[in-house]
Amino acid sequence: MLAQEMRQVNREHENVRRQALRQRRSVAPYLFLLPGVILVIVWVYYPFLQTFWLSLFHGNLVGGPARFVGLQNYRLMLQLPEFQQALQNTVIYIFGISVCAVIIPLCIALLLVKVSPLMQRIYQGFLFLPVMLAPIVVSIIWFWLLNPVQGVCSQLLSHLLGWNIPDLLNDPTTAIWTIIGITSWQMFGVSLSLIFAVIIGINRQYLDAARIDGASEWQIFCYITLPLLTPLLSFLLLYTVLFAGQWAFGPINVLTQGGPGNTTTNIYYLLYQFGFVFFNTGEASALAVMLFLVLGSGAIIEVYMLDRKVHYDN
Amino acid sequence: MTTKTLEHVLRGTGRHIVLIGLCVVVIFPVFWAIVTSFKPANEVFSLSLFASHPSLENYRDVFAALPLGRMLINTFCMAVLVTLGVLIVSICAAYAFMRWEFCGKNALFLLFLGTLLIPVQVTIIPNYLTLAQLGWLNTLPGLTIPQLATGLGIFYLRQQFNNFPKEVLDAGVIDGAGPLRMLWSVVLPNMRSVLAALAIILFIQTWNEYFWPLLVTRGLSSTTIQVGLQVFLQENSNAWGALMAASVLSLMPVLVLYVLAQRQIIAAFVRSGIQ
Repeated sequence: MLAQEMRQVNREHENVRRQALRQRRSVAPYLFLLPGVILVIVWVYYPFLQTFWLSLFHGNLVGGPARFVGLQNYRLMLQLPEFQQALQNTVIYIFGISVCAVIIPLCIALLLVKVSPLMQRIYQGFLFLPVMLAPIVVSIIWFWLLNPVQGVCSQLLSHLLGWNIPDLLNDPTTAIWTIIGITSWQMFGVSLSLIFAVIIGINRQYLDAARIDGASEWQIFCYITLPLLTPLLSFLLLYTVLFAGQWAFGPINVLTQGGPGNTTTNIYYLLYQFGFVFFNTGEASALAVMLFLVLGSGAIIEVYMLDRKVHYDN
Repeated sequence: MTTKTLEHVLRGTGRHIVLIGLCVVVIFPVFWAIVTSFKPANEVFSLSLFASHPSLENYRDVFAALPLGRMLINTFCMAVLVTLGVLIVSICAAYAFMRWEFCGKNALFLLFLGTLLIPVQVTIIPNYLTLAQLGWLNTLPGLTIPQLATGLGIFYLRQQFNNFPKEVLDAGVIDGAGPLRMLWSVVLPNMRSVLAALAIILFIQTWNEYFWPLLVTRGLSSTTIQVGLQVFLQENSNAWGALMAASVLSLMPVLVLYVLAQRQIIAAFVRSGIQ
């Protein structure tokens, strides 16, 4: 009797629900999505297409008649020595920042899981702080610390060890690595907390079982921790490939403006210079299109590989 | 046995030494900036860890050189408006994705996801030209509205909203609650902590934003503190005390927010990244 009544209620419930869902199927979801869609189309996708269009013209930001030049902007950019240098530097940035902001945090996360929970929270709180700071503030503070004469780094080193460090930001061989260091200093907290969270989330029973079977720490890392981390690590690498150039933009702009001798410029900075320092929209747009093609295809390949890897883990 | 415990202790301290060293590397620059900002001119170049005669001289200097009050207010307004805007847009979109099945759902989600693949630098020139045509350069709408177009908030909230129990929604439907009332009085109150964390992150990100204000604003009194810092650096690259004072003013709000909500901020970052 009661069961029957329950079933009745359930059926009614189901009906009402379906009715409600059907009724809402009309326009409500589209209305809720409308503001977001409009914003994204107007300020991301439309300008994105416009960039392709602008790249075919010779024009400048200040106005003046634009002249159709076809693919000439692309040819000009590809032949430009600065472009080749910027491309090469972008690869160095990606490599350097991947090592410093993904691999090193992995090692630190492995240390961090071994200390007590209270200390974990304290260390993590400190180590994540730079992520929150403005790139421009970070750059200015480091500019001060690294000042070759009065900066605390050079003063300390010469007082304590008698070393004379070169002017790191003005030396063509060290400048790019200094920028990579500063950028990584700011960003490594992101990878650290993500990797840490995954390691902490690994089921303790796996680890205990492995330990009882006499596995060494290194074996546990290779056969348990690392495989479980692979999806995240590939995501972080993808993320770094896509964004390393942008993260470095602030420090480059404040500290070196691409110099000395273009050794620290990268594609993003060159794009900015062509667009907003030389006011050359056509060439800047051509550069933007090439940037997108390279990064976009890189991202798609990476996502594809990531997908396969995740399936493999399952 | 004793050698084993000794090794254990040594390893433990070794770990702490590495971690503490790292924390020093992270904290020292910020600490040094704050200390330098309070040192009078004759002490700025000394290595002492504290200002022996702390003074506000540097702060007076920057306030005299820059319209800092206006800049801080501008930055604050921009950050609040962008945070609120992104929150509203993202909440609506994420709610639509959670609540209904509808035609084109996946395509629309990809539309938002795709924005993450397009670097800002690619769209910035056309956006600048559009603003110029609209006459929006150096205006509040020009500064804030383009910054609202991001898929990040939607992406993050959709993950969080998906954990929301469907039974509660059904109960609301049976009670006859309309979609807006349901959002307002059922979904949002249960998502308070998630929304607060997102709001804090958005606020800090916008507060730190530098590229867009640099392009859109004209003149020191209508720009943000980050742009002001850059200008001040270019004009007085040797006034280290004053530069540090300006930097400290710019990072203080972020630092305070971070100290207050540090755990929630890190947790929100982790949640958004791991999924």
